Amino acid sequence: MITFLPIILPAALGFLCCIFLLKQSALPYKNFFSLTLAPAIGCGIVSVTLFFSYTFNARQAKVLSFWLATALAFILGLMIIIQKIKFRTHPLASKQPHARPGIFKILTILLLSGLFLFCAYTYLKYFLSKTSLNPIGGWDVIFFWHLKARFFFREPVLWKGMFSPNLIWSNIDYPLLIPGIIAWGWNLLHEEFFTWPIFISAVYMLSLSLIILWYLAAYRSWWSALTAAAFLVTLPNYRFWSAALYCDIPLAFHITSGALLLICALRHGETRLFFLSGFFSGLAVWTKNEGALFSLWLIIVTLISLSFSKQFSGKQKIFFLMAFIIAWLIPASAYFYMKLFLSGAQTHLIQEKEFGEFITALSDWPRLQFILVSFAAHILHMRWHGLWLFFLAASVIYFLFSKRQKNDYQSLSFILVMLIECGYILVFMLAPKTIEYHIKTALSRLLLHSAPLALVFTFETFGLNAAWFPFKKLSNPETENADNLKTSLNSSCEG
Amino acid sequence: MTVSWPPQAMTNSTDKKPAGWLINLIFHIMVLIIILLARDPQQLPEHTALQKLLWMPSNKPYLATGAAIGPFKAFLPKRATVSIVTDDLENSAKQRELWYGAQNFLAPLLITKEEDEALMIVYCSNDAIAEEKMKNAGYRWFKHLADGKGVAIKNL
Repeated sequence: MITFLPIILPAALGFLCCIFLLKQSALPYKNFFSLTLAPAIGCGIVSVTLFFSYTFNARQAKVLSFWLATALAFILGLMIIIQKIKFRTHPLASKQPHARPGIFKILTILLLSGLFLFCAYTYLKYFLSKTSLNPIGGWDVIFFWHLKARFFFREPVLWKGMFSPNLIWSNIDYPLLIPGIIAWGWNLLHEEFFTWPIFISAVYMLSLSLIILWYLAAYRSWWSALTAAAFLVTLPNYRFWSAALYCDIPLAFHITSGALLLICALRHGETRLFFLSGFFSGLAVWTKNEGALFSLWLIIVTLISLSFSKQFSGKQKIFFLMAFIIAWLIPASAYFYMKLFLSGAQTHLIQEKEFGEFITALSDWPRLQFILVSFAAHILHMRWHGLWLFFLAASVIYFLFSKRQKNDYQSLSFILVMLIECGYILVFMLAPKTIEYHIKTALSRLLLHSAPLALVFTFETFGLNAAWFPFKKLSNPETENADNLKTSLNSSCEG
Repeated sequence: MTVSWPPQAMTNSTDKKPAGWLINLIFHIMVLIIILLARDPQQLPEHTALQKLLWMPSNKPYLATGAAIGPFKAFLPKRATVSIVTDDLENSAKQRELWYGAQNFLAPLLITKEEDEALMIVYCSNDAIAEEKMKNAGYRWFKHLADGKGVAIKNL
């Protein structure tokens, strides 16, 4: 049990950050949001704190990173107490008397909750079986991520050894979110515990399912939310890669959180949500290089969405954009500092080419054909349980047959899935490695990054709504109106 | 700076079942069936004894990555760069794994396959191969640990 102690401070820090940022937000179920996502948010913060502690005072970095995180948590707690900040219920929500749900709703939600808990239990059972057989994880984990964490932990003054050209095989320019979190735990435990990285991997996987649960519960219904979350933790691909301790699950979590919070931010028009979205997007950059590509797409989508939005004034748009970029820069600055001053661009995913070579590479039709066929083969694999086929069906229904409402921004999750995948196809086209080798080793993991967004889009399109079923009706017209909020969203997806 | 959401236009919709509600219900039923029928092809047998080890407050039951290189540690400096030589480091994935494992075990000591450092880790199948490689690179035994294995020092 001692292994779990280092999570206490990051979880408290993440929770306090959420309370502080969301104090006046209209975000639905924000208590649930804060509680479930606190460990993952806190882990991101301590990783960045640890990196800068090592950068500026390696000798005292272990102590410094701990006290910086503690001080941050203390300041946030103090500010919350001093200002007597409490969660303020959104004016619209405050008008809603608590509806007494009918027996049908209670029973079905209890059943689905039981199903979700059972699926989470079977996931953890699988996870423990696999990690007990192999507690050190897969190849990348042992030789890339854990190696970097060892440099942080063993001899802080020599931590820059991880960027030595002698270790070029360990991808020395990979970002350091996960090594930072692992080193944080080891520093506090004074030992390289195998079980700490295992615990972190499970935290991110469960956080990923919980953010989908929260989002769909908030904007669709608990039925859709619980079904989607249960579906995610049942997917063999997620089970396998989380038990292999790969960084793709944390990256998928940051990509999903960044994208979903951007949709929430645009819906509610709240600066603080843009800030959170930017922060998660920055953490995606700090997790893996693929996160930088995602950040590029998210920034473009944010810019376009704000430019075409008529619900915000020009001043508001500037505030939103500034909040997004400032928050993004907090973790992204660690990434850029590392790239510019420590690692350099030592490993290349994309070959440096002349313009002519670039065009030639992009017009290599047999290669493109091979990549597309490989994508098709992977997304149709049984290990996805038909997720991508459901996504395709949802896309057809959403774009061809539904009455789409303005300002629901549901299509952003679809757009981001397509942009992420198109980006990967582009990288495959330009990658210096043998395409067969690259696809064999990377494609199934790359699909993990956008699949949660595809799942959300599918369940938003096919979402169930409370108002369609025989619930106990409320006589209060305001409540009926409030109930209709979710109905209106669902009806926007219906033909 | 808060905009109420959903927008007014969206809140005016009726709570009547929309035309596609049945499709949505069928979709959920299909997903529930998939969840219930899902059997992970890689479901593993439970190893109760191994799982108990995960909850122990110690690393003792586990072998550290690159532990095979453990006996060499006493004869190597803590802060330096050393070379490594094996039978066929370039072409054998298993021997590269040994090299990477050694790096994990000995970090922050740096290990390179370039044979020009003062000390060299020799991890060959037998003394004949080891001595031939040492001779070609200009090394001699500093500490001979086992057949084909030990630490070599660069000839001056």
